[in-house]
Amino acid sequence: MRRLWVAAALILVLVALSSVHVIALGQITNQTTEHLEQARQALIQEDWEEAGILIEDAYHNWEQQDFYLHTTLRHTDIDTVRASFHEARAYLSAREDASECAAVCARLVNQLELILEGELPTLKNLL
Amino acid sequence: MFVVLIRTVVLYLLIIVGIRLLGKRQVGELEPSELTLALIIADLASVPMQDNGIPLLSGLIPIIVLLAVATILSVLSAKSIRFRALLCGRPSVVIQDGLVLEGELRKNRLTVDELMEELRNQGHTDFQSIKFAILETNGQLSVLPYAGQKPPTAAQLGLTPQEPGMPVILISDGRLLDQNLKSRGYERKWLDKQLAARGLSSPEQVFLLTVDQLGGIYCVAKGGKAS
Repeated sequence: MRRLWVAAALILVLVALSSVHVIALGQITNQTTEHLEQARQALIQEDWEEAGILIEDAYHNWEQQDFYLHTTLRHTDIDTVRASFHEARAYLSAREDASECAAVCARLVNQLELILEGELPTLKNLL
Repeated sequence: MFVVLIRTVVLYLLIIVGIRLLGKRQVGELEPSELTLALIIADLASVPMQDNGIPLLSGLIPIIVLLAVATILSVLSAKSIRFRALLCGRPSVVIQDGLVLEGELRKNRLTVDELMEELRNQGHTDFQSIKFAILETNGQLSVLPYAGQKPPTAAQLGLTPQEPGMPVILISDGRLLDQNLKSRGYERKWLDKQLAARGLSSPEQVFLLTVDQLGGIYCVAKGGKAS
């Protein structure tokens, strides 16, 4: 009977950890997308200074969680996000095409939303 | 390369621990649920082992969940007969009173050739000599011959043979197992005497030597014959 409770407890712990993971990932992606969304608005107004600060903040926020993200998510998804960040930062250094940089920010937001969506225990994901 | 190596070791150890926790059944004795578990675990482990792009947790978590669920199911099936029947099925009688039950064979998708092969494996060639043949839930066939067809036991013949007990290994591949020698109450002098009686001078010349509770010795010299 002890084995039954240990096994049941193990499953409960994994369910709890999965819930914590979804919440933590939600916080990371929300913070990052918030900054990126603001950066996109700044880029529409061609405010390169403000956009630069926001994109760097978003990038550092994402990179700080690099280890956690690599242990829980598919590496290809994380690499795609990182590549998009590098692209956005390249546009920032050049300061030539604000609309292209804004488009990269929008793409990043979309990529982050998809990552979070893929981890949610929804019927769509289950099926 | 290092990543693949470490991942392989981690997954392999996890599977060994898991299978060990499940019990000591052999592959041939797996119940349907256990066979399914073994197949899925093998597949689950191989993917993160080879693909570094998949987090190790993606392999570990499903394996842990499967092992936990399997443990729960095995405990529940041990507690409840109905649950056990649902999970593992029921044994099927395929031969009764010497008569092969065609319906049961069809139900279990067992051909007559396979049945005969199983019977021959167990030393039976004649259906008429079999009272019951039961296909167990783990796929093995249990054969119960008629009482008149069973070999007589010593008790039935009125004999009282001595019980030799379990033989203990004293020398294994030239290595003397002192602890076993002492546990049987013998000394090195006794062993040397036994070896000398067989034309051997030291344990290094012996491949295997066992002794039972009655003092019966089985000795195989290295590259030689049993005595």
